[in-house]
Amino acid sequence: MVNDNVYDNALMELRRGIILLAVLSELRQEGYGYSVLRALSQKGMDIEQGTLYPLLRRLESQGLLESAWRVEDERPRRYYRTSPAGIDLLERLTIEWKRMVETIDQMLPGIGEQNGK
Amino acid sequence: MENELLDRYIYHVGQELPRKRRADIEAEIRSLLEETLENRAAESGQPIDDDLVAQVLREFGSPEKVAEGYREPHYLIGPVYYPLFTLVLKIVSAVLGGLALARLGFDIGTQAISPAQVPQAILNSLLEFVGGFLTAFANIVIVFALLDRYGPKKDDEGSTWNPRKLEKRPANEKVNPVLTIIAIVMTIIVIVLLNFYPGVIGIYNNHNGVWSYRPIFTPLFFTYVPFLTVLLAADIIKNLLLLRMRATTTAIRWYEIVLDIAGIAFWVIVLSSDPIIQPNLMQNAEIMTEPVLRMMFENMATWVIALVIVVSSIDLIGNLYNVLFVRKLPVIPLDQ
Repeated sequence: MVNDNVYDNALMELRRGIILLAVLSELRQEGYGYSVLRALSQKGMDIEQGTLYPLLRRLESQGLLESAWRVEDERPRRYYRTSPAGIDLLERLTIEWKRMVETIDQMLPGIGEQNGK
Repeated sequence: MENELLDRYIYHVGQELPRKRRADIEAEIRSLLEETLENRAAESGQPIDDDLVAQVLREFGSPEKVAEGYREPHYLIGPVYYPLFTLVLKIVSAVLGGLALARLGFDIGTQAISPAQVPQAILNSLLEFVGGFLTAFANIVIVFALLDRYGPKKDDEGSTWNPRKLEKRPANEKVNPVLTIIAIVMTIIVIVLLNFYPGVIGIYNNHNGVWSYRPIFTPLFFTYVPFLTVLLAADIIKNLLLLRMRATTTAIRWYEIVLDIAGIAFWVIVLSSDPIIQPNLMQNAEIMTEPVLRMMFENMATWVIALVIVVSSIDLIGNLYNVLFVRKLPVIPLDQ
């Protein structure tokens, strides 16, 4: 049996790229940190706050997101939106993602069904 | 929202952040935390007190971990320059080590210091080496840190590199078992002679049917025999290892390096002491009428020991070069 630490690390590696796709996709509609966290969670994608918030900053510095401070409901919030460059990346990665899912699905018949994972 | 614990947390995250982006990130974290707290309070019906704040902060993560997420990865010497950095470090330490050894050998060999001062001289050389190494290390780190920051980045060769142009792998040096066994036997004979039959080591002369015998070595030499025996025994162990592994491995080379250094130190001490060969040994031989040959024979011990030191030094440098700069292939042991 593989220990939990190895499992956690492997899962983190696996999720790293997927989170990027999820965030770029979600922020096609403007949102702020907490709202993105809630929206993704409701769609079944739980991300730790400590992972998501710094990621938003990094994607912004790479030009994939745009951001601006705005006061709404008497609270200053930093709002993010996927930039045109981010949209372009999202579209290209989505094509690649679908192809990968198809390929990997063919390679993993029956695996994991007994464990229920 | 007023909460001391929250303020303290944001302050500590800020301390870990670069000054330029600190205020902005602090403001965003505050906004996010306050929103989380309000929503959590509304959902659970709990007031926003220290307990709830502590719970939310624990979920958020320690200040160091949160700040780490916001920071760019940074290092003094990155992966592009690191291999070159270690190579330069190895060369510099080898040169410094060689210089320290050479100076020590020179001081002892030229009798600039007495045998009693040898341990102190070795300690001084070691301290000098450590001091020199630390200074060199600091300078090399600074140079490479600057290179990493401002220097050219290696181009990714991508698909243009040619597999056929890869350098050939270094072959392990094969050991000749016959020669190694002969060496072991000879060494054992020498050990037995020196330790059990020291009286037979001499020059035998038959003059008009009468045998005469003159010992070669002075009594002083025999005080060195225990040390010499240890060195020779260590050499036998090395040859047995070579036979076992069938090739010179890195571990064996390190062993040889230690042996070389011990051998050089031993012979330097012998060279700097009183004569170990009996004087006037060849006095009556006809060959000694030639002045040049006479001089050579009189100083024979010095010449031989000097030669041993030179050969050992070359061997030492070769071994050091090999372990530091030449990557060896794994060796398959004999029984596989």
